[in-house]
Amino acid sequence: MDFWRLVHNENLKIVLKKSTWILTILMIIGSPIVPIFLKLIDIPFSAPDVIYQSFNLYFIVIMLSLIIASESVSSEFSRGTIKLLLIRPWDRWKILLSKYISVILFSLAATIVFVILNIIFAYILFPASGNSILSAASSTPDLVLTIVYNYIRALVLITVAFMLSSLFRSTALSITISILLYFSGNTLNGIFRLFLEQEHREFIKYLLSTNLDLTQYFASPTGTFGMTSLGFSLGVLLVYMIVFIAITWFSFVKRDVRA
Amino acid sequence: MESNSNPVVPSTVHISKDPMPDSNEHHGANHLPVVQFQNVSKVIGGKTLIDHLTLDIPAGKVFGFLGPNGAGKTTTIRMMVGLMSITEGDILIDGQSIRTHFEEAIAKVGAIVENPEMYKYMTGRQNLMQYARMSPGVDPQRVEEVVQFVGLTGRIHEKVSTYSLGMRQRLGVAQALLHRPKLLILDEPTNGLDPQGIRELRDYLRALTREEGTTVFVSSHLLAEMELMCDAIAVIDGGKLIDVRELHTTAEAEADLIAKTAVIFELDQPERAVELTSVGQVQGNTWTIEADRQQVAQFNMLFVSNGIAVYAIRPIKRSLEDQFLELTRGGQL
Repeated sequence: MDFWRLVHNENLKIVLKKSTWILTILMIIGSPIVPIFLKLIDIPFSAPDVIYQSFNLYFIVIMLSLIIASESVSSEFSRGTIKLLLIRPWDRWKILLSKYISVILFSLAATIVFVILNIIFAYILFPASGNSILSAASSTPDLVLTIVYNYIRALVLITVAFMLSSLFRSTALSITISILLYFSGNTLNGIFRLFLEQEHREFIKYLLSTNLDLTQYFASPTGTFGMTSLGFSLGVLLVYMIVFIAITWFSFVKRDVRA
Repeated sequence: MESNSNPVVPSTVHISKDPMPDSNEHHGANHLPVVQFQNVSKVIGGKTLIDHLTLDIPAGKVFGFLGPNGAGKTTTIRMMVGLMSITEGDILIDGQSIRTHFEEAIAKVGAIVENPEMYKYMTGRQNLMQYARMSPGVDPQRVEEVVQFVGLTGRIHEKVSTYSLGMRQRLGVAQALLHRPKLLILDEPTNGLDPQGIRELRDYLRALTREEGTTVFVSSHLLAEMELMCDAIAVIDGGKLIDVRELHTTAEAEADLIAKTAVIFELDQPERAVELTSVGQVQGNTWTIEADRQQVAQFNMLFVSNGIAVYAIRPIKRSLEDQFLELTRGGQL
């Protein structure tokens, strides 16, 4: 039996839903805002700079993916369809995996659309390259690295939302908590920095929010807090991912379905 | 009892032109129970919901699972299909443990647990294709076949959100039948259905057992329904199995022919009946007597020839409902 049929099923559940399309269209409309805005204020940027700047708006892709990830497991419970889904000749972990893969595929597709739109708009609106005010001072970070770093952040957050979806079996709760986590991360770190003594700040470097944004290493190899490195952050994120996936697995595979 | 003219279930329908090889062999020849509950218990938070349930479900029958609300019917069914874990004991489906060989065991099962919930934003067919992709050997042609069997062909390309409850129930039956299960499990299938829908469901089940040899396990708290639908029933209350019995078997029907049963005669002059026969009891305008069939006819002849008007002759049968109440009384609350 072909496991990819399960993934295909999950993709259809996402794609056939009207709300997915509404949100995706909003995302598509929102994607090229940065190039358009930069054109309007009429500062001479080079196209690569514009593309780099456009990732300030990548959070709309993350939000969209978080919504999809939050719904993936919990909506089966709220609809009651979980009872028909889990009585097929597939172990529960395979069904869970197919859901996780479909959510990741969706976020990848949204990312690709976002990047392509921004590349197109950047090169249409800023055709003349060379006399950029930014690239004169420092070189623009590599496009592929920018995409990869941003996507890693998206992937970790999606995994959180997916975990919450499976843990609470409630869409509203998992969307709210994962988006809160996304936006509150840096604020929390700032507060810790203000109120904690130097010697007590050590734990900050193990927090998820400290390591989530890998683009911080474009500016400094020791990160925003001057206490981490790229390799360290990747390691921390990996550990978090393993814990999240373990919690997701346990809450989906081992618990009774009473919905 | 069966209406072959029912448009929804034509008697000529063959859902299984080439049944799975082993299902054909087992049918009839093999007397292995389709489901074996082996000392099954379920404890949640210190509360025993199912208490050492041991029960065999024979093949090819419509088997009823009867009990008042909260007796443990749904819990039992959820353990059967692996939605809930089993605290103690085991459940074998076609000889395979649902605990240790889930994929093999569940492949033999089609089920509707409570209401058939569907993806409302998809069409009926898109919903069925979801489940078709998850079972081996279910091709689009089989999907058409099942859609026809449950009589949804005309509306299958419409969104489920436009369906009535009866149509959703039919779609639920369709998804449960796609993979030609040996065992069909229905949890409170008549909930929310109108009499027409209940009747259709009953006809599907009969057609299935008759034509495919499917075993049907159906839970309900509605006695009258069970009496019409089932070949045998198990009664459960407070998580314990109370009784297992066959309903209207041929042997029972034959025994009825010679057995003496209590019979009520409705007469215009019941007192004269006692004078003539010097047996029986009078109550109002009825006369009650223990008699077999032959004797009933003789009494009738006697009364008529003596100018007593006979309005009605009725056997007194304890209904299943009386028996059920008797069984579950005391165990409650």
